[in-house]
Amino acid sequence: MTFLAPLFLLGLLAVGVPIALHLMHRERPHAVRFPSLMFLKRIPHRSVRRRRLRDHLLLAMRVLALVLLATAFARPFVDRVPAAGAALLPARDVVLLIDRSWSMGYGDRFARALEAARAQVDALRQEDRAAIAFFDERAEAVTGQTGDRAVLRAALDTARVGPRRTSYAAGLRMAQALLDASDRPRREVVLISDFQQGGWEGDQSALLPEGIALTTVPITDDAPANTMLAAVSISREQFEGRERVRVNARIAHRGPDARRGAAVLEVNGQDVQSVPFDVEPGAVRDVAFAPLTLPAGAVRGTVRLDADDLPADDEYHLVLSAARPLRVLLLEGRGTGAPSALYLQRALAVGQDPAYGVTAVTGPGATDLAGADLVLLNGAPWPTGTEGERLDAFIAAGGGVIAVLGATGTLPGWIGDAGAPIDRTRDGGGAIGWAEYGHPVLSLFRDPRNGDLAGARYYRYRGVQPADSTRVLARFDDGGIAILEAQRGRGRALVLTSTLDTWWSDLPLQPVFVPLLHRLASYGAAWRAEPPAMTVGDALVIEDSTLVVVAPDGTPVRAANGRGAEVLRLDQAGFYELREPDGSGVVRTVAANLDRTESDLTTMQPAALAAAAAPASAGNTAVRDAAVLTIEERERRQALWWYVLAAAIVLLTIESVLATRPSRALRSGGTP
Amino acid sequence: MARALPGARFVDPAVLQRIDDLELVAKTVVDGFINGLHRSPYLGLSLDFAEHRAYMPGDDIRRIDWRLYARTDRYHVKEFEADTNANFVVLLDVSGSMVYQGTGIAKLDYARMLAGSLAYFASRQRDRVGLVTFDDDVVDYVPPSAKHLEILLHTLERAAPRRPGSLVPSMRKIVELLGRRGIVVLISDLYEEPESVADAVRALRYAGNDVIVFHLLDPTELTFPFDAAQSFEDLETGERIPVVPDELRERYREMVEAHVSALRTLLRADRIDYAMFDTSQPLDHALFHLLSERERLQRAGRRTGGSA
Repeated sequence: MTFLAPLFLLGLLAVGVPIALHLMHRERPHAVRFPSLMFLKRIPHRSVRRRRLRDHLLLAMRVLALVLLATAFARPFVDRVPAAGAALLPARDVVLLIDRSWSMGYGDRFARALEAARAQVDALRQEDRAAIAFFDERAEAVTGQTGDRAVLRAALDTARVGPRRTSYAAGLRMAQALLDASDRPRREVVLISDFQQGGWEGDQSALLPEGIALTTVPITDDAPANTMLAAVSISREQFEGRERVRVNARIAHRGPDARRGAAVLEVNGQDVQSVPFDVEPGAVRDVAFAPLTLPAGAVRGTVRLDADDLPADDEYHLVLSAARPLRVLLLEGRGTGAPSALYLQRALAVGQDPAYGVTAVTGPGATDLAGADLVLLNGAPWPTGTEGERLDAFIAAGGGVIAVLGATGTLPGWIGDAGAPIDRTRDGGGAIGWAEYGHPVLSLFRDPRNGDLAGARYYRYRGVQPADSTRVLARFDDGGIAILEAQRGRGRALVLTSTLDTWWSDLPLQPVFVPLLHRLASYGAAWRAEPPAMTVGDALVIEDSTLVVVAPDGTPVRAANGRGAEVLRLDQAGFYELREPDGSGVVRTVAANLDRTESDLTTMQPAALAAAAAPASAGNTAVRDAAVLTIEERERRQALWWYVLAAAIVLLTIESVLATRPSRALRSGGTP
Repeated sequence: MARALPGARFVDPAVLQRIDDLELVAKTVVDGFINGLHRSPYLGLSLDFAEHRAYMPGDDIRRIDWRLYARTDRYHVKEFEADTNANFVVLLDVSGSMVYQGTGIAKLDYARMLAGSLAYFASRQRDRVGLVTFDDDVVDYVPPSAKHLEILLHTLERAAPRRPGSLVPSMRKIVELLGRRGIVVLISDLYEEPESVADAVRALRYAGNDVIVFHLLDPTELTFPFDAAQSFEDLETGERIPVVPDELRERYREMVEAHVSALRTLLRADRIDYAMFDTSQPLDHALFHLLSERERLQRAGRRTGGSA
């Protein structure tokens, strides 16, 4: 309820007047002079308390009358019709937007949310319609707009907590879409959620348009406590010639009290290690398990904590497997001027993620290429003839080539023409003058802290006339090409026009040398590290579309795309298995975990979200309501002051009768 | 009593109050009262019996003394002495409580008019009239005399309340003042315990006086019509107490009725005439009551052989 003339509310200050008068006149100074109190004194007079009570009644009536008068003059206006007057409003469409992100699994939050939703359904009027949509990172409308309460209740009865994080934007977009089709003047979104702060990122596209009111129903707990596995990582080490894997877990705790417990490492369903921990409120604790020597193949690992009120983040799944090196075939140039491979080999030898397995060959044999990810031509001319065709096929199939031209290297026609060396010794050597830092190879060096590509001096390099389909990644300060990329089929070739030794440049002596070479090798070989675990919601790329995917709950799922590589969105936490088409052998195991950002139970004010998501909600709703109301109804909403004024008059009349009754009685009692 | 006097001219005390001259008030009351007695069976009665004389044709047969006829078998007619020289003294309470004025006139004003009327009436009967005003002591004293009516009326006019009243000590002093027996009319609101009042008045009675007590109250003292809860202040002592009239009205009325009843019982046990008036009643009622009481006393006196 608002007021059309709120300044009149200042009249409420007049309430102090009767109170002051009452206090001053509580003891009447003019007593009744009576001939003798002989009889009155004999009667026990327990009258003071009674008298005050009656005075208080008069005082209350006077104060209330003043309040009513001030309120009446302030012209109260009903902008939100109470339940009693709700029948006067036109029919509405409501979207019950229910948060089912996995943080709603905390305690009985989801049950309470469903109960709140049922209450909303019960509160619908006969002519109202409602739709139910659940949301987490994605939104799903489980019913359309319907007035059938049974349908709505059935949808609520089958609801479960989802595996994804909260995104209010997704839910609000869905609600907006559901209400866009509504032609009713009153549209409302009821958002039932735990109002996690991390679920709102100020997405402008999720703002509710004018005319849609947003009502928030918070489902929260006082001082929630949660211990979670924030992250689990693995580190590898060599021990007696064998690789060992160490699992490291990071435990975070939020809550009023410290937490003490044990972290358990489970490998292939067996508990193998348990490490005790204690963690203070608001702190994190890193737990390291003892190193494991892994068997061949993929091993399922799970780190587990004792369950608390939010058990979903007390488990973390990962796939433990021996590291696979990136296999490099090294072809070195021969003769005078051929670059040295010393720095190159040393740089590749220190690679860990991935590790590099370098094999020096004189020519790219079929067998060699079959086991290689990358061919590195260090001053070697581009193979021709059969070897050249074999190399082209290798590239087209997805392989990678890095060609370091030096003085002796050559290029095929589809890449370009390698010209004569350009001598920059006279001007002190050239430097990288331009680089495409948006390219995956060079993006690392966008940040100056990661090294300066322009720091190296290049005294000689080959002039290259690139083919049309190539892409220049870096140029020298004189405009000459420094790095060139050419695509062929599913593979690619990278060309460096100088050398990777200290004869033509000092690049190997620069800090950027090793990371640059690793980047070139990884990118050239299209190396994609196999992560020990993925996150629910991530897309799993399945190269072989014939494989059968079995979800963690045992149900077979198929990717939607039937053409070549398929993409499957991970919807469950646990281990996905990629099996042969007949379902026999497991080709690949993928671990999926819940998004840990959802573990942060910090909440935001529902009003803040309402203000951010529906900034025009309240006002526009009122305007829209007023626009569709009849004149009589608008008048009815403003006519409240009549009733208030009438009540004040009635009250004052009663007060006058009560206050003057003694004198009237005295007059009438004068003649017994 | 008032309804037993058809044709009597009753004057509202509130109207009489507008007459400044107390003598004129008394004359108005008494003359009106006597004129209204034409059809009264008490016509021709004086205050004091004189003698019998033989019946003569033309005499009013109502004046025949039938008791004497029964004894002597002769008709005799009662003759009353025109001037018996009886003392008629009014004792007027001028204590603080008498100043109370409820819904009509003040009790003291009413008492003044009543005392003046009684004195005037008695003076017309050739009685010696006197006045004593008192509170807890004698304030003014006008000795009984056939010539003291004007002094008496003047004293009445200037009577003013000053102190709290007390009957017992004041009556004792008054008994000492009144040497000769007579008719004593006490006008007071009698705010004392009935036993104390009876003791005080009994002293007058034992001194040989015929005592008539006029208990004077304001109507509000009888009905207690107050409604507002507030403090009540005693006019004599100044004491205050908080009172909720609604709560104690009935109880108060019961106590007043019990008080009046006790007074009536105690005083009549001592053959003392008692009448309660409120200030809204016409003064004639008091005069009629006086006459009727005198008649009763005379009859009683004749039975006992005493004299008035």
